[in-house]
Amino acid sequence: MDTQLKKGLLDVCVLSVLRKEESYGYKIIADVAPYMAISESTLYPILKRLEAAGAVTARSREYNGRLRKYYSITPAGVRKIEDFLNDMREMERICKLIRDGGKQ
Amino acid sequence: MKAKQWLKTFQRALALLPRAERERAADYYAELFADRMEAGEEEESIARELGDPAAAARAVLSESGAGEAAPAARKAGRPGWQKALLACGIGIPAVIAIIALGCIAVALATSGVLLILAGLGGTGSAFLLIAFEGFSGGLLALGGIMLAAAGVGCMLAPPLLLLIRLLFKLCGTVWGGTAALVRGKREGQAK
Repeated sequence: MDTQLKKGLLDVCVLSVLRKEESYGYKIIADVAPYMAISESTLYPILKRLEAAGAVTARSREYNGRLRKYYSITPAGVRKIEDFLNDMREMERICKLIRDGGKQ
Repeated sequence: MKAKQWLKTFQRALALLPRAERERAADYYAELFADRMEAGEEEESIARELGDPAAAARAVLSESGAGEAAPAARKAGRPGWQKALLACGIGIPAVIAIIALGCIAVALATSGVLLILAGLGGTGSAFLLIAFEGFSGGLLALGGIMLAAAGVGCMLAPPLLLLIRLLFKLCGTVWGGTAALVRGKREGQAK
């Protein structure tokens, strides 16, 4: 898939996973991996970007004697997902053109 | 490679980043190591899969734009001459205020302690006098009053201690606030 397309998709995939429930790094990767190739080094900048944009908040909680960072989605993050879905509907129309364009 | 070594190399390669960012990235990878090992994976295989720690560090650096950001962050804040001017203009009165607050706290503490000590001392001497000079209503009254004074001192102790603690906290706030003002706002910091 095109890299630019992938970048935007991964962000929304991560947001969608967090929309269900708050999660942490390892689990986010496990949940997204079946749908899109994602690695640890790919996820880190995504989480940083989403947090900076206010789409996601993070807090550290104790787990098994160590600290784990849990990420949760914000209303702004939910809006990002909805914007993406709207864009997708628009893309479907354009795909029709690309598929059928020129043909009768 | 073991997790510790991987993380150490990773952190060292991030030397250019400000400490908070470097630790944040290190915590992220340390957490991943911990979670994956808990899921049963081998430390060495995780490290192999993560790849070269220096490469991972370079990825983090490129995302943070550290090359440009680091010197820019240092430049934000006040120019040197402004800092010097503020340090004198605001700093000196601030220091005087802190010393004054400190003196008030010390004075309160001293008076509290002295009240208790004097009260007890007075009580003691009154009863000693009764013992040596013989009973006297006046001496008994004196002993009682002195004991009451000591009692008042003890009762005042908790609120006085709180007040003293607040005063020292205030000193700290004045100091911190002045320092921040002199330093000037940094990029990305609202406080």
